[in-house]
Amino acid sequence: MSQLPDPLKTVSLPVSTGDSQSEILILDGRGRLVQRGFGPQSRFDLEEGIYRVKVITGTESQERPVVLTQSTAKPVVFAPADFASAAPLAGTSTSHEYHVAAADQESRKTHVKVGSGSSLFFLVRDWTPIQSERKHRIVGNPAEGLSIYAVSPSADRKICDLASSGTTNSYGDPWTACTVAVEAGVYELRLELPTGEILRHSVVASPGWQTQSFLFIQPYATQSGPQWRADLSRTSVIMTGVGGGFVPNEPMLRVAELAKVRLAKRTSTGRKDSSRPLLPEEMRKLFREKFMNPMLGIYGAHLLLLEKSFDYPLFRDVVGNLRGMLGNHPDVEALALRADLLPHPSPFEEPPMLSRSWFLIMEATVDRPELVTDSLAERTGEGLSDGAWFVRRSTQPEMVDLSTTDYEFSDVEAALAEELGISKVIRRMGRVQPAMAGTADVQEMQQTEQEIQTGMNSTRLRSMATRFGIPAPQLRGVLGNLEQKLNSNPKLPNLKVTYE
Amino acid sequence: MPNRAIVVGIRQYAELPPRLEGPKNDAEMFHDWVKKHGGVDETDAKLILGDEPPPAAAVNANPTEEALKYEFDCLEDEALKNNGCAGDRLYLYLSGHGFGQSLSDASLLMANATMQRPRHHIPGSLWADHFFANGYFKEVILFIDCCRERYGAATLNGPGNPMPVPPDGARRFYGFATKYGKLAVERRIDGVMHGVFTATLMDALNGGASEEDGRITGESLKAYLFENMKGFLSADDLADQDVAKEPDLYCEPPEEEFVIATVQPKKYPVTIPLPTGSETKPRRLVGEQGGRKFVQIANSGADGTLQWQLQLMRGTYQLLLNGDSYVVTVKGRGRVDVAAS
Repeated sequence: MSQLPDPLKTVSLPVSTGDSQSEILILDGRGRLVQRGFGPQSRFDLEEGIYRVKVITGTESQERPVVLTQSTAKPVVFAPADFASAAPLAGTSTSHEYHVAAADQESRKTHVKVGSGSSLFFLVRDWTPIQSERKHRIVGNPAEGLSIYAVSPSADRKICDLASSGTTNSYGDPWTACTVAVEAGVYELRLELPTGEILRHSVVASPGWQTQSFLFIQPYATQSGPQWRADLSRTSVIMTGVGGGFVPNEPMLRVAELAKVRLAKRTSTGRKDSSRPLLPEEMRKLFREKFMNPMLGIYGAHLLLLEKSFDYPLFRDVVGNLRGMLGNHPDVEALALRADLLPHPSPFEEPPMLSRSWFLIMEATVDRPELVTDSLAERTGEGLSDGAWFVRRSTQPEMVDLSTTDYEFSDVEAALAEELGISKVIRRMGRVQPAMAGTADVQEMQQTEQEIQTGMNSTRLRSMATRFGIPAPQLRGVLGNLEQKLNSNPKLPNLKVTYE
Repeated sequence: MPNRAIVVGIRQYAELPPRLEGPKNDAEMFHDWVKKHGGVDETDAKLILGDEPPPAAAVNANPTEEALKYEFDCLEDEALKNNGCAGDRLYLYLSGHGFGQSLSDASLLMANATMQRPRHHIPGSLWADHFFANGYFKEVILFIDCCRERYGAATLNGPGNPMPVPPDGARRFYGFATKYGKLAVERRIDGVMHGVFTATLMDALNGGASEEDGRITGESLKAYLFENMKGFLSADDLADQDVAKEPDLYCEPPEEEFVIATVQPKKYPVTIPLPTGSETKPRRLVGEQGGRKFVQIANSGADGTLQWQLQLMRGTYQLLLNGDSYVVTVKGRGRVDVAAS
């Protein structure tokens, strides 16, 4: 029979993972978090006991119990995990061989040529876990509603519809692929939804590079049931040299994809523990040396910015290298706003690809109001949401809710009115006791001379610009409109916004 | 000061498909719990349910976001009349259709929302933060059982910044049914439709997450929810990358000091399958108890069978079979995993 060990002894537990980006959690016998670290190798000093080692790689987790009674040199080993990715990379759980082959072959062809020196490749596909005799989830082309546009302050020009210009194969989980030879610049991927809404996402073509975008499809709810279209929020973007094509086994692409997954979960305004490092040491080492994968550099630089102990010299080096690799790229220039590099970023004519990049630009517009050109501010529409990509939605005037209880505020005005406490004042002015739990009757409001004063300093303006994704000058414009609407209605309180 | 609760469940929406089954059951279940274990008096526990059947047009449907904001305003008014404090603890529970517009929030779509009018929503953590940061309650506990998929046309519509620095000792626990961008699902559990998150939450709050002394702490609740939500999902759900397998949780540190409730810990009837050849071996189970590691939990002589039946709390144990060592993990509802160690 085994002897019961001394419970107070501290022993060492090495853990080895297949990916440097894997996060390692040590849980105690009741599942409580004890320590955490990164792959590919970490050593944990723990009290003897019964633990579970949990390894999170992208979307996947693996777990193994450990009875720890003495230090061991032999690590608990976790093989690389197959994680979900729209890019059919080796070691991902969401691709079929024919998707890998399609990406490999079609990315080396040119389906549409409108320029030279750079290239855009798109692969849109369905993916279902079990390939069986099941009916396809979609009947149409997976790229239905997707088109690529050349955008400029003066006019937008449609280059092609992906569904009609690319190659489509409906065997198994269907896919459509399309390669467009272009001049370097910022282009726009547009998706027309069944509701008529247009979603837009920037795609940047850099000199000598092919930007590869991989998209899954997802159902969009409509009154007549779900309809399948591309899912812009889970796009995977990879960059390779023009002519190099898609290389599914390139290890750095896997590292970059995992960095993107990490970035998509992070926000500087969330409640996550900001003292935790977000970049594994191995990736820092890579950045200190030479890195050749631009998307990895962009994701990594954003993650560095989100860490509490900000490694400024490393960040500056990464951004400098990215400028050297890609030239003028809106996401790199957004990062350069924090890097104090010369030349300073010029005003942005086109939106970046990443939400975090847009956040940095919005933040900077408080001190540099000229940073977003009027043309870009007008064309941006509404930022869709957090997550990795900055996806915008074209405003549909018919969708603006102008019901009378909302005093004809637009969505943004209504949100600002709640944020500034104006809505609360209006609710109190019109309130009577609720008739029953959950319903509140609003009485006819009388005229009022009440005035709400709101002071706006740069900190508050920065916070609002980043929260609403609206550049500071345009935000001031919206606040001005709100002031005007309130001040011209005698039944509503007056608003006075003062800027410090 | 009293504890307060606002519990909302909207099952049927006039103009928002698909029809849900779980939110009413879930809201009622949580409402019962806050009165029984959450220290909330009957009069301080507001239960707000959707109209059933809903009216034909969403514009006439209740509850609206204005109705819920009315309840929030009343709490704030009360706080302002009482030196800035409306109670010790606020429970806020929201269940129905919803969306995620930011990494740090989830919003409940109110009964008057439509696909074209998502502005009729309540962003849970913006409101919870409002009560927390202003010190209107010493503790704020928020649970939201709804989807957090990205929604095209919604600007978060909640109380604003700058939030003041919360008073010393203020605490909060926020639980979202899903990580950002994922779908929350409902399933038939014990014969009744429930949101998978709420079903797991109620198991946890009814003793599954209790420590040996009965305390359910922020730390133990997180551990339980992370580990057990997937236990209610089907194989198809587990393979579906859009369906949430784990919740999104935040607890103000130190998590182990935030006592959510004190409830008798649940011991599950557990059957441990033993490896072939061990029917003649005596068996011993060791684990953590009273803060000590490797405490003997049970022992038994050989009984000629390949099963060992015990009553165990959730946890990970070491099974010793005449020198051979195995790890036994008891999860919520007594599910058991056995692995060689």
